[in-house]
Amino acid sequence: MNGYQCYLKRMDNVIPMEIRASQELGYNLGLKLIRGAYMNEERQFAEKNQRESPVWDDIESTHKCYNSAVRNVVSSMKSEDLLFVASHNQESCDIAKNLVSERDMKDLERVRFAQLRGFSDQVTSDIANDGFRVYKYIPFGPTEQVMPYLVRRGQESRQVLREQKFQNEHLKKEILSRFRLF
Amino acid sequence: MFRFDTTFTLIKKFFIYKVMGSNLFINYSLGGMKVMYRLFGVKLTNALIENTAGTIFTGGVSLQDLEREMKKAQEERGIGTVAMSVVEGLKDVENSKLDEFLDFSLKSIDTLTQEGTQEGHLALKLTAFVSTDITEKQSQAQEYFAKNILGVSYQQEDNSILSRAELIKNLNEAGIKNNSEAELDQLIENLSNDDGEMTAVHRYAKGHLFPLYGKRSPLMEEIAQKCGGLTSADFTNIDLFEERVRVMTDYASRQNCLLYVDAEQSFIQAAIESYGQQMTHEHN
Repeated sequence: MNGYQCYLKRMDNVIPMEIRASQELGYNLGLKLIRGAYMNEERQFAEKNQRESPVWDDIESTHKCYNSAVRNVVSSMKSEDLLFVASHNQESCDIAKNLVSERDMKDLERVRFAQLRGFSDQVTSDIANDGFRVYKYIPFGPTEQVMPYLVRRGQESRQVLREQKFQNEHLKKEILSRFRLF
Repeated sequence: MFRFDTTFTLIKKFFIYKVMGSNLFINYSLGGMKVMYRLFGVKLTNALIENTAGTIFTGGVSLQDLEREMKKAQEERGIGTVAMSVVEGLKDVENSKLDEFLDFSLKSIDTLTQEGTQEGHLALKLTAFVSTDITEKQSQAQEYFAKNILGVSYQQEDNSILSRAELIKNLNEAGIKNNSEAELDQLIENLSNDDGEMTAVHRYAKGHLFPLYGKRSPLMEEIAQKCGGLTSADFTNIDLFEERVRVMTDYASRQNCLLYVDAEQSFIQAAIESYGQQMTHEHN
């Protein structure tokens, strides 16, 4: 399945078109929704080539595009379609979970969730506890390639870092609770 | 989530998260890593990273490491794994190197599915199987083909139908004038619904200049040459690339491994998206 980068302005049109095509041509949808990881590069490339930036101007527009895509796909998906909500954002995950429950599709497990390993563990844990299928995206390979990849993800996604701060609070609580037990 | 970790691991995680979340780290760590590689060497620097941040954020270096981490996540926490082999797209890369990566991907599928006995999940970059300079040219050609020749608007409400005359006019405008009637008929048939109409949806979903599961016609090659600057040597490499992708997707399908095509930068994304879409149509 393809990854659909919701920080791109064109995704507002592409995702509804993909849904329509799957319905009219009769194939099963397979979508992995992501926010995108090359924001700075895209903006620099557009500026260098004197083109309009393909990326939304602010993070709110990206959130809006992502959440709208989640709503669109979950509301119209068939039982054999598959949606991967690859997001660290609590709100986006909640929207997907609520819609799946409303459509009584939870047991089908056709809407699945994923977060990067080591990031947003609290979000992963909540999704698993709510009975949804959730995955950790685990990069592996030579250290000199994997770590720069992860750092670049961090550089591109300040949102993930904000989520990370939220996670740190949970981590601190768990550590303190262990010492209280002793 | 944290209740499965030892207190030592929790404290380690806490400090590493603090450091990695700081602007100082985010802005200067790549430069810092380069300096460390120069000062302490690759082995020592890697050992340091692998035993600190590596244990928290990665699945390790080898397939064995990944398998261990995967089992741990599933057994202890009931959480699945999408494995992602990190490869940076390369320019002017040797075919032998790309074949090596194909072999590694097939081995990864075996590990992830436990030799086909369970559902596996593998994320991959298609640019690990072909040089990025070729993907860039393919993307340029694919984008021109979809937008300018087929008039794909990506608008959901688009109900336009492209006529044969309009298609010929668009081809002429792209400098393609001597195509045979038979080739044109074939292209139109590929892009049409049962009523023989080239609808907006069919043009969007079937407008692939580089067919992964069909034959690339001389007309398509001419479009790719004119609109993307592809050469005959590039076509040979594209054939090898497409064969690698077919081998991998067929094997993944037989072994019950879901494949996730990683999206990349816009200047190479049109080709990646086109191939990903064709894989979806074939295997979903």
